[in-house]
Amino acid sequence: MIRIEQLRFAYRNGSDVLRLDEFTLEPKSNILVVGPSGCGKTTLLHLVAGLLQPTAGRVVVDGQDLAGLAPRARDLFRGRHIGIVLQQFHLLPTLTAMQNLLVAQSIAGRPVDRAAAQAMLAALGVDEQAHAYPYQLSVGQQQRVAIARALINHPMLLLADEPTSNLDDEACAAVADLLLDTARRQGVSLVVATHDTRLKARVPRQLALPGRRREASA
Amino acid sequence: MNIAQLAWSYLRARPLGTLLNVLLLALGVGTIGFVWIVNGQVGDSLNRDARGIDLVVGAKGSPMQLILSGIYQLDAPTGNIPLKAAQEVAKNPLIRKVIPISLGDSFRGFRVVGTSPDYVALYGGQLQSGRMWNDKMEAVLGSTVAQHSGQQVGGRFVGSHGLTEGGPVHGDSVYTVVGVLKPTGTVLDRLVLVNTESVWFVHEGALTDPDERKVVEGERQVTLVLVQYTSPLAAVSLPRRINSETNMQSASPAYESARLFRMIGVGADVIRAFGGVVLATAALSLFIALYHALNERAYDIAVLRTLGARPASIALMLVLEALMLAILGGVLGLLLAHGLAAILAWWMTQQESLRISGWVFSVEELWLLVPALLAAALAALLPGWRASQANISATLARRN
Repeated sequence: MIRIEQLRFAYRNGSDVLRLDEFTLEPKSNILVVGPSGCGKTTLLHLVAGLLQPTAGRVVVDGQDLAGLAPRARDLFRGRHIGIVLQQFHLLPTLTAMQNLLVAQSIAGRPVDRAAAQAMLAALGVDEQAHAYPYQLSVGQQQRVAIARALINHPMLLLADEPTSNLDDEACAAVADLLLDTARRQGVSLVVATHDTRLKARVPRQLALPGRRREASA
Repeated sequence: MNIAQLAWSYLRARPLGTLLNVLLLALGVGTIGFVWIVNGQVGDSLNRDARGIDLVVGAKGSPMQLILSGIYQLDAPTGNIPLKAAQEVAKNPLIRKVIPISLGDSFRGFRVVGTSPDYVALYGGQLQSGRMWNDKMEAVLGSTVAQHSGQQVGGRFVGSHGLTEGGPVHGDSVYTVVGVLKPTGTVLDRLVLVNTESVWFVHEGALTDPDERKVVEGERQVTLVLVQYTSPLAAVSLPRRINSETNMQSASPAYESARLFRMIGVGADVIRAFGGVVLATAALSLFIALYHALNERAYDIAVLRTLGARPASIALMLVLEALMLAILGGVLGLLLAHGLAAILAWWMTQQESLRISGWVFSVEELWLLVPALLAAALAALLPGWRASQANISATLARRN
């Protein structure tokens, strides 16, 4: 599902570098990306999502080398094949839950399919809130709608960035269950970037990123 | 749920800001549109009334005044001319037709015009009811006169001396209405038409002494004559000859109404410039709103990018928002312009002035939307470009 080779990424300020020489994730498997704050977990997720371009090396997702795609094609590839869940589970505030799913279909160049969107909301237990705006939803409902939106185009890969960092134990467990259950049922590979130790018990496979290293100046 | 619907959802989500920008745009387009409509209507009205008249010959004075009084029936006349002198001019082979106009009286503020049936024919006047006059003291009413005075065929009225309401009444001279004209959209609508003899009769009274009658008839006058040429070549020599060889003056409707239009045009330019300033303000307000939206929606924009939106789609969203505002504001502005023109038209009707209409729509006025669309596109350019260049990864990382 994901294959990473000799990946290098230099930050804007120049010297800090993310390195990952070899990494592979099989289809329908889950992994936690862990490490201290600032070690590049989010950066790695953005590289896999094609939101950032590597300085060197290859990121291959679902058989596609992301660097080999034109920007437009990369955006479309992300919309169609990669679902992304952000820390804040951010829904577009001017759209209803249903519309948040429909806009995801439209942007990915898929036909707008209300029945599919309704079914996806039902799969996450928020079909009754389809026509509610985000401010009318509880935090838990917003998380469910955001996950539904990430999955509406049936991606092969679901990326989640710190999904539990601001949650109490109970909510954390609920979100973890939700993500893992949904990923299993939808047949999606799940990559979770987190520094939340509570998740480590739930996902056996982990990729530990070392803290940022200073490149020795020659 | 495409990009356009998304743009619309953002407009709906902040109704006050949207309303402000729509109103500003509407005010700009409305002001410019108002000038455009009124200019066009006044120009049409001036041209309609002057059509078919090559020259106006009357007493010496201001040529503009002669045109205003003789053709548009707005100003007081410059004086009268002897009938004989007018008949002399009419003999010139360069002249095809002269139409005498005799002014002096009015009925309820509408001018009583002593003339010949040619005058009615000039404007294509057709009878709504009744017949044309056969004799003196028979009157044919323009449609507006009939409507405002309630007079119909068979009605009787007396004229009052002077061209405005409230002059002394010619109590012993009673007109009988014999006909009412259909609306023509010209000056004819607001005139009471009688034959020239009627005007003489009202002012001379019944003359019993044959000698006196002879003297009076020899000194008869008309106010002015409208002249039609046999050939356009007449314009070269005829006006100059009348001005230098007779005691009368001639004035060209084409030249004088162009001059009049230029004078109105200065006022129109001022209002138009004001409209331009309002439109520029609208563009600035729009720019500020969109620029503000950039920061406010930075995370929304980042989310859209994670969903697969390309940078151009993000820019398009902002541009579409601006264009939607421009179309709303533009259409509202056109309605505003027509409304203002209608109010002006109503006021001008009250003033017995030129006849214009506020509710005449034309396809060309859609061009008035162009400045609004341009202003919107200009305002959206920089915000749109900035939005498309935003560093999505950095925006998403900041919140984490």
